[in-house]
Amino acid sequence: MARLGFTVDLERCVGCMGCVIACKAENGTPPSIHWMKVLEREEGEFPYARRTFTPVRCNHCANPPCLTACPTGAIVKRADGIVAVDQDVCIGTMACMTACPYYVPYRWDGEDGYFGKELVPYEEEKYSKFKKGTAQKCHFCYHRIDEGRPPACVESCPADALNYGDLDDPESRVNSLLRQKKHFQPRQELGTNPSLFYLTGKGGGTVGGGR
Amino acid sequence: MIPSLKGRETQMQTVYRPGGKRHESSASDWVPTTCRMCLVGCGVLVHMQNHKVVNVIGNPDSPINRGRICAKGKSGIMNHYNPNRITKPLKRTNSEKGIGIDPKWQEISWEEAIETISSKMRKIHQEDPRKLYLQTWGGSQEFTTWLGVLRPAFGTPYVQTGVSPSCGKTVHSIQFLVAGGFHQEPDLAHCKYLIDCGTQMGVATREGFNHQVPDCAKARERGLKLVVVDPIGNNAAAKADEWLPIRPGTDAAFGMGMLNVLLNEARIFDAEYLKHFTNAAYLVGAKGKFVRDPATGKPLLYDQGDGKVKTYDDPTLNDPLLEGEVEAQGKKAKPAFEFVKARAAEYPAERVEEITSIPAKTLRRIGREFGAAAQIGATIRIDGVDVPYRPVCLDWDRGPQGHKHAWHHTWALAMVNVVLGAVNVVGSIHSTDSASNFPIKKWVEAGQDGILMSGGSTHRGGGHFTAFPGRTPTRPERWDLFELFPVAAHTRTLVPEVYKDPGKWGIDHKIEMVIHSPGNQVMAGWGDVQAVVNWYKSIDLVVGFAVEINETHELDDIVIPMRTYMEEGCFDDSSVYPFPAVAGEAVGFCQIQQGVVEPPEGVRSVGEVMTEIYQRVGILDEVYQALNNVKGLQPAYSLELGKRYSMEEVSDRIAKSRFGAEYGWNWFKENGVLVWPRSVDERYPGRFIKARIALYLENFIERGEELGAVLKEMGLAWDLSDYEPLPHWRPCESYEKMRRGEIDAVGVNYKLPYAYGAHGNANPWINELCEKLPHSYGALINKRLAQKKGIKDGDPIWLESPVKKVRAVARVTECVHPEVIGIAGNAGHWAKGKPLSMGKGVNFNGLLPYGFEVIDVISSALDQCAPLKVYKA
Repeated sequence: MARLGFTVDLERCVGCMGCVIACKAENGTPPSIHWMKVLEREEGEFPYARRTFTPVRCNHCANPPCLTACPTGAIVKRADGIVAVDQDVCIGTMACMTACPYYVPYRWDGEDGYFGKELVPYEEEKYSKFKKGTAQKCHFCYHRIDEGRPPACVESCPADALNYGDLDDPESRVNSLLRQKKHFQPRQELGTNPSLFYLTGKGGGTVGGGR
Repeated sequence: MIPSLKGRETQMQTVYRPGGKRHESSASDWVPTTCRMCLVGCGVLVHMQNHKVVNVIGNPDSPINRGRICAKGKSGIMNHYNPNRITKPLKRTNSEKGIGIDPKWQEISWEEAIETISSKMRKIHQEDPRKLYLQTWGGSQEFTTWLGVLRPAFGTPYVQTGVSPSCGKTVHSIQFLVAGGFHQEPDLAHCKYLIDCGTQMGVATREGFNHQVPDCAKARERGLKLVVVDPIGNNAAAKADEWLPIRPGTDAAFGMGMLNVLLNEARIFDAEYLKHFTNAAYLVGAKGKFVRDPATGKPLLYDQGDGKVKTYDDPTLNDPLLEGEVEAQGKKAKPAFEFVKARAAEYPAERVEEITSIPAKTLRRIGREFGAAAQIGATIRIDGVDVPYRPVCLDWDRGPQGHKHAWHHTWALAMVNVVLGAVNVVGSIHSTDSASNFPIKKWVEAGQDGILMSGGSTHRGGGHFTAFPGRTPTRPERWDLFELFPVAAHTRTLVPEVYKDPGKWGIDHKIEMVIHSPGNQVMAGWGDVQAVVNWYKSIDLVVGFAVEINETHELDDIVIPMRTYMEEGCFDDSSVYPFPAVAGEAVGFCQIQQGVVEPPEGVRSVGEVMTEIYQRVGILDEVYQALNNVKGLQPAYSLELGKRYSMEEVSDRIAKSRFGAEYGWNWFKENGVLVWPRSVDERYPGRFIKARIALYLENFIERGEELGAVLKEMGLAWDLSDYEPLPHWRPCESYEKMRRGEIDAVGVNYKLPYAYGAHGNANPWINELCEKLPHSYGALINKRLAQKKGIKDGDPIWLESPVKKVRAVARVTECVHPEVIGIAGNAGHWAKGKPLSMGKGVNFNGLLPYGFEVIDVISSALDQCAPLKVYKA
């Protein structure tokens, strides 16, 4: 049984926002919607201070609270572990938004494109997939997965900070990385069992920073 | 001859290549072309669906980005579909020009636009070609080719290549000096110790982000130590092992302090290299000049092998003396290296701490670590050849170049690499495009005094001049006072200054016409915007090519619509002439930029428009003749005089001339990228170049003396103390103002990885990022300074420089030097044609005082330490 997962290497990530825009370009998410984000924070005091970059997105939990909370059955978990919203079923109750401890899903009520009411040809082509008033979140680029291609964010990452693979396969890229590096799951204590692991370096470096 | 990149692809596990043949289905296609969202030019595959651009991904075949593409590159989709673009030629109807003044555009026919331009050019051609001034731009090769060609073809000396006042000011000159290349980057695949000084190499920005970031991430993982010396705790500092916040404008002191630790304290230097590959052993006599052989005029050195004084090229030369004192021609003389050490000794770590604010003990530790990591004497076998292995690199770029004493800052930093023999070898800094065997044989050779001679980059229409041996200064005839800067690469920074009083300089002609690219010269080309606007207002006819109307176009008389890079096609000869190169890379390559989508009706390519104009002016033959030379076209493919070629035909001829009949324009349209193997000498040319680096710039003494004589004759008294052979730290005005307590902070500009180069904030995806991220549009202020000023995070504040006062949003942070205000990117737009970026962020260049007193007397770089008063709004 496959269970797809991500690794996010916090040492490698340079905060270039390549994944954020790669996701947008691939999935054509409308204005203000970012399925993939990189949080910029800072830690330490001058001169021992630094910015930190933390890529965040849907964790595709093994026990997704959003799925349990959804009253319409619009949130589905595929056999490979991908958690996705079926926009044809979703009626926008946003129970998922309340249930998700990671603040991932949100509702899209927009209409306009990036340049106002009139959509540009790219937007015409892409936005037709989005239903107004439904929940929005990362779907692991399942359309790419089904073609054997990596998610757009993974493909574009210049620092090779993002990787994906089958968590059930000991030989997968993600598992070899998990063996090599220290790691943690976001808010593991909640029992959601996220399919996303943050790698923090073999040297046991600071989370979100350098070494 | 041309193997595929198969071996390399195994390293790129995560890259998906939409394989198979193109055109398999008419509805969907992946078209190979070159990204033009900045000057780098990554290879991309544009995904077309139903004749619409639906995605852009990196082309795995292109060694410059290996399948990666940055945030900005992907955002190019929205630049292409920008509804604010213009598609018809425009004429200004309001004769009044200025910032914020509506030009009252009127659409005109192509015929009217082209005829207006042609007749003015014809008049100028007959009267005095110097009345034409051209502004090209690294972001689009059409301009480099079709406007740059006018220097040889038309006879105007004014071909401005970049936009920013610090663009290439010293970096190219120093590449010409040390290896004859153009850009610099480390061999990250082997580097073990990287110091980034005023640059974010390997983490953000620079000429090759998409290959440097993966290489550096991998190197950091295997243990490369990254030290970032920068006033701003930027993205690079975030990933560094150590961030050393430095006071702005003190880079030379840091560089000299490093040299002092290496040469005088730790005594780590590559003696063999210095003896045989530099002029460090040349004997220096009276007045800092070389002791020369009376018969040949050649510099002399002392051979420890047989105890004789010889010329540098004596075949019996064995072991030149590097340290000590000898007698030559009856007088005491010392090798130049002794002077290098003595100059470095003026910078003990304690003094450097006072100047730079970097603790003395830190400097000493970093210096020793860096020296030890250089592994002097080590070699490594690459493809069966033993090559020197010096896995250290002190990289620098924009920061140290933007100063009143830019030359000295950057030459001091460059010398740290040179004394360790860490130049163009395995693991060191590289001068990219330094040497090539194919398709054009290019190797620099020894010339005057045995010194490495580079022609600069002047062989393409525009370009940069080399600093050795320099030129004999004369009374100026040019608007950029080029004659008074005998070792500068280019001097366009001076033009608005000369405009203030051309008569004072004896300039006898007026600039009557400007043709410019969309590079936004008014906003980013100089400092104080009003000084630039004043000059533009004086020009009879300003013609701009535009996709959208930016701040420079608002001063135009005629605007010509141009194609986006998704519509424009040309054989990409790249900004890194003649071909792009990656440090240490096993392959060379050449790639195409081709039209992917149809342009709006009537919108022609820059080349086509200019060809039509050249024909009407009557200079098309001269243009073709010049292109034949500039592009080095073989006789079978040269452009025949009397004919007129389409852009496709020109591209086809260039491609076939370089690579043979099989690899014409159509081959490139289909395949995108051509790669070929590079031999070890091309990849690591350091010790294969048979010439010496001018470590001791003796020529600066003579050029300075000559310049002094010219200035005296002109009744001018410039401080020429910078014309000396070795680097020295001298403060810029802002440093002194801070010291005297006259200002609160020094404004420093820094780069964001997602807004680098051209086309930034008017792109809705990039703008959205900048609005959501905490720092992008704000002014960074250290917590200590903020507390002193009663400023809280998010407060509106005033930044007041001597030339401009702007409102900004304070971002209180620990990640900035306490004496600095950090301002990112090129924001603060006011052009109505770019509604998304209007009024967001701060236009940094606009805060810079502009004038002769803040321009480097050597390189003509503009000082970019903005003296600021900071207070709550």
